[in-house]
Amino acid sequence: MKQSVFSFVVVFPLLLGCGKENIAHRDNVNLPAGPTPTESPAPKSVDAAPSAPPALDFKAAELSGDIRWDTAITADEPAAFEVKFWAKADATRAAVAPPIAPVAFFVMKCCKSVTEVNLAAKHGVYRAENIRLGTGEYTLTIQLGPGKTAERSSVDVVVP
Amino acid sequence: MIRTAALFFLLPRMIWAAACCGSGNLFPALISGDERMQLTATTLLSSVVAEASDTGGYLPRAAADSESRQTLRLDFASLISDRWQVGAGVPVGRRARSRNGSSAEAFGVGDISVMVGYEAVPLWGYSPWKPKVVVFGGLTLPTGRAPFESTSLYQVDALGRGYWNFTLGALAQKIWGRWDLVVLGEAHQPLARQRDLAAGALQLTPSLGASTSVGAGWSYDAFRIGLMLSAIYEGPVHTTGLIDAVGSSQFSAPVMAQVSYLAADRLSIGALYSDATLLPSHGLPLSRSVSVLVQTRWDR
Repeated sequence: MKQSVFSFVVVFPLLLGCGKENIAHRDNVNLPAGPTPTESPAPKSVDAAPSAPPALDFKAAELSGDIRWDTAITADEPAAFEVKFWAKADATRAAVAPPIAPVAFFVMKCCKSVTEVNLAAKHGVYRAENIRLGTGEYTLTIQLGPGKTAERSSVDVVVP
Repeated sequence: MIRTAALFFLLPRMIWAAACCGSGNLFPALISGDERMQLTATTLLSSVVAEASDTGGYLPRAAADSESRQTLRLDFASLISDRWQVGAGVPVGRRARSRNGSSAEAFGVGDISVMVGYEAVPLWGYSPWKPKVVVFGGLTLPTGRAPFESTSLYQVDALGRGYWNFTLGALAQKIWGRWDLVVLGEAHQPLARQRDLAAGALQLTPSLGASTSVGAGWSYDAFRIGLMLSAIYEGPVHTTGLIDAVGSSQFSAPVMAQVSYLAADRLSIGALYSDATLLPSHGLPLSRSVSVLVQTRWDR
């Protein structure tokens, strides 16, 4: 009696979950076409329209910057974005590399939890991939180099 | 995310109640009867049904948003003297979420806990008013992945809280004939933790948390039915370093209904239904859950 009852309680949940770890997939039902979590979205141009105000402003470094998402961010898929920097005085907005490698992180506004993303230099811009955020409001901060005193600029991000 | 850590730490252990005569346990990690050892297996199935906002409002989960958790928890406790005891609990769980056609799931170990208990007020004779009181201290190890360490969609691989957590509390239990009453209170303090990010170091300092529960039951023959109301508070996390900020606190008040059955002399079976949506809460996901427990005990 004891053995059989214990066996049921112990084995049942293990059977439910055994062998499954960090599996993510996307069902192909009633959904618009989009990248799966295992597919890398094709890189897109991040050239900002010359008239659009820059989203990022680094006064000390005399740089401006823009962030472009591959697709609109959502909690249901890994997201990716690119950051482009250019000299403030350059009306053509030609991409330049900041004097210090930039880093990026999200801060969730409600609970102040910090999510780090890796920025990798790619084709003259900086690219972050595999971003997984829950629904909510965030601040995305781009920072020139590590440390609290490094120059930083932020934009608001809402994840539906 | 949370099911908060306090909820996970306390509720599965509090849902047990003896059929009669103090021979069972209201807190499976603790021996409160006359046993030498006990082993409790708990299977918990829960579903997140709403989000409680920081300001206290409820946002029901959409029909296309399903989040569930299955947990198997083993709790073992043993006397080391007449009044002192030690114990440990190991949870293994699976989390899954499906939302808008995407889904993710993960399986792993949660936060392992150890405890020491002392029977501060023993019941060596009949008393119409004096309860049995066990005081306890606990330590939760951050063996499960924390939300801030998650690499999975929907953070389903976050099966722990991420902090070393010290708990101090007391459990009082009184039985009058077929009726019994239990009151539990505890406070817990997670230790600060540092995260070293490429952008800079973060110091995470959680605030004190606390919980209290009041339950009552009625026994007939080998059966017992009971109700329990809990209030669980988790203090905000203070973040310093890369950013200086204070997070939000969490509060929930789950209501639980229990049924238990003394299947054999040293074997009890129980079931529990818990609903965290009935009373005001804030700052965390709200779940409904069903648990099945089996407890076996060894005589002194």
